[in-house]
Amino acid sequence: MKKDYIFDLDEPAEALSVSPDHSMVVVAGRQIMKVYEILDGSFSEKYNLRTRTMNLNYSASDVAWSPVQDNIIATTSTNGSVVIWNLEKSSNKIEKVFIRHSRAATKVCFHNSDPNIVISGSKDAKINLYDLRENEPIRSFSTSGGSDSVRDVQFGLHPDHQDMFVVADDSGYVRFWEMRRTDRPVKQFPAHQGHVASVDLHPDPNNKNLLATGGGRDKFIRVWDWSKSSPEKPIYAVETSSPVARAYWRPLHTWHIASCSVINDFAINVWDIRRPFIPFASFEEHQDVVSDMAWCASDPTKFISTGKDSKLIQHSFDKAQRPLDFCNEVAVDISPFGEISFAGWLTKSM
Amino acid sequence: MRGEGEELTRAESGNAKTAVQVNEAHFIIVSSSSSSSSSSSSSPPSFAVMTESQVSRECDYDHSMPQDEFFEELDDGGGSEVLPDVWQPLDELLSLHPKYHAVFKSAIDQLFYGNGPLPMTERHYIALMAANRHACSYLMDLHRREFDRLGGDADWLNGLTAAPSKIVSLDAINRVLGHQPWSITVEQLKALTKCSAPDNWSLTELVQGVVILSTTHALCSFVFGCGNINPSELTPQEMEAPMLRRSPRSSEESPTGEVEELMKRMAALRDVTNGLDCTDEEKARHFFDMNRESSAIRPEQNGDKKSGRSPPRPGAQFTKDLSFTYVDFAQRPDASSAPTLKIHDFSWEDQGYSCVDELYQVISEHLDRKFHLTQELTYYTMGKHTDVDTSKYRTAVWMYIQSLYGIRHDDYDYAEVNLMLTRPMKTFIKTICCYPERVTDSLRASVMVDFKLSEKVHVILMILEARLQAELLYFLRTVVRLNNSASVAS
Repeated sequence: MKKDYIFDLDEPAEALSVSPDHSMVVVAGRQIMKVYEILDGSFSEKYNLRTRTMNLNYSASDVAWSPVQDNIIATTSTNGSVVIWNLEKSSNKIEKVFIRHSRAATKVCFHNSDPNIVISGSKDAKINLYDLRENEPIRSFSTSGGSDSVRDVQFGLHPDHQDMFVVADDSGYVRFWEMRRTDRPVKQFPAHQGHVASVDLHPDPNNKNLLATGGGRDKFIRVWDWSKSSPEKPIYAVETSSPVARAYWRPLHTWHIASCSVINDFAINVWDIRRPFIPFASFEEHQDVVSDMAWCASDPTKFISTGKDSKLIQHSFDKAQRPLDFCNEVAVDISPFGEISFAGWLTKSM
Repeated sequence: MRGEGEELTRAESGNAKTAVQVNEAHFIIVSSSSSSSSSSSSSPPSFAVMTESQVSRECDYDHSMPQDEFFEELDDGGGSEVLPDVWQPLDELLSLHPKYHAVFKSAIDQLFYGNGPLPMTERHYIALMAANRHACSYLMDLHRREFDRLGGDADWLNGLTAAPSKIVSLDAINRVLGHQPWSITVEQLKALTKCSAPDNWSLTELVQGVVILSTTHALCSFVFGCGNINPSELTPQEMEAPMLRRSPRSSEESPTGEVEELMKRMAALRDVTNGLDCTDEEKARHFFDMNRESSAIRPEQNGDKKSGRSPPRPGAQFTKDLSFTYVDFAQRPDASSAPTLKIHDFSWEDQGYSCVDELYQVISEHLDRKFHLTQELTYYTMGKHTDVDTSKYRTAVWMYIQSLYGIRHDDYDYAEVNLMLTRPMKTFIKTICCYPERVTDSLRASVMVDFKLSEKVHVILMILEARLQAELLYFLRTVVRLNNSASVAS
């Protein structure tokens, strides 16, 4: 049996992102920013981007690889900056720095077809939209009077949604913005008690109206059909054992979602949301909380994860824990009159 | 009427609330449990005739309460709780900030009188130990009396030597959290939680114990900051003159220009669009500069002995080693083992809240509301001026306090603290935070001269909450580490 490959980064990581062709992964954290080539069962370091230590632009809180250009990476920093890196530059690989958030920047995301468009979210409650050919953000989005830190942003994935993005913030609302309309969100609805920690649009074009959200405090993963004018109830909900940090759809598996936790639980759980009480598969190699993960798009039995334990791990489903295998699926009871009731799978031999 | 009366008698024998149909249009509601005993002898029991719709509303009430109404009730922060009289002197000052007051009352009510793993008497005893760290006679008296009132073992009040060893073992954490919270270690928590029964603390008990300790430490800061909140032996007249109100400047005197200067500086700060021209190296330098400068601030060693009536300081009955005090974070002896706490690695909003929520759920929402409200609270006034955006000033106060405990925010330029807070103000804040028992009347009078009373209380409330949060952050981070080490070992 193939083993999961555990690689030591020496420094805790906050986020990772894979290149468009899934040949490389960038890992970022306060003390680390490195690009590794993904090999079968190992990683090989390609670039160390953290060439200076006193400048927080070299310490990232989030990282995103351009989905269309394999040499462009964006990071956010706790000082409020958004940094664009170009791996093809010879020495200092910083292409551009935008410092237009007044508080820590939390999340960055590329447009899925236009290589020049990037958005970033921040604790200052704003979302900035950048054109990489300009030196200033071209637009800024915020709800009126809003003071809620932005936790997650994601651009629409499918052709008719690409100019729209979805935002998770501390208010507990999920908001959909249209890239050209800064006056107000085109749609918003309450999704969680406390804040919304993460959003993920379904990658499958047949289910493009599904959105998975993770609640940071209420310990729920919820799935919404956001095409409705105002979705009142989630179509599925999973209650987890600890606050959810991130929730991601599993490619090519319509009903699978992977999640990791903010504290206490170091496992990555993959849920079949139609069976919300027990994880479909669990991965328990990490020794501290998992901060981020990325699926291998071509082979959904594989994914990469990183965490506060300074590990970078290649996971494979043949190494997963299967909690369902340990469940008793048969129940028997006897009534006061001696009748026996039985619930379970009936086989022909019985 | 006669007929109705007969119906009534039958109804009385039923349950507490029974509806009896008299005719098609009316129902009778009888509340037999409360009204019948008082009124049965003199007059017939009172009853109300209600229309059908009223009845259905009344009867349906319990189970059909709409869910959002239920949440609203949770959300408004309660505040209807009435705390025992001993808390009243605090009530009076806090009532200047009704919103905060409501949240504060429900938090105190939950912490000391609500559900929780620790017996109520022990909660007050722990608070007594915490108040002893700062020799705060008002709070010591309060908790001594509550301990007594709730039926605590009077023997314990003779001092720690008479208390059970489990309680005594909390003294080490009381000391560290109160003065040098950054130096709390996983080993200390292990010593408390992993020893043999009956001295061991469950994590749930420990979290409640520590929330009590740190709340009380922070309340000591509030009490000394406001001044003259005294033990209940004082006469009402004496109680009625809290220090703050006896501002040495009368209102006719021309203002010092303190407020105007602050407003000018706040406006200037907003104009340079949030200090964007400042590099990270400079920001880091500002943080350390400010820390160093703050180390130079030395509060007076002993209280205001000359200024007349200084209440006698209680001894160290309920805590050991009173010589253990705050040291400047920049000069801490264990600098390598206790680096600055980066708020982006461990914040109340994310890890802190969830950690408390896991172990002592009923208090997490109260604490969260208190922190959130204190940071957001503003009336857009400063002294005589209205419509002032005070956010820069409030942020500076909060950041300065947390920096005293080595908590650093990457996205804040600490040079702003120096612009917003004068040296006397920093001395005041640092004294109130770290050595509240050493505050003097003259120090209190030297700062915030033109501020309104409510504004002074507001600033002191921020000191309270920022200090509480700092202590909790260090403690909770250590709890998480303890949990992590346990689950990795298993």
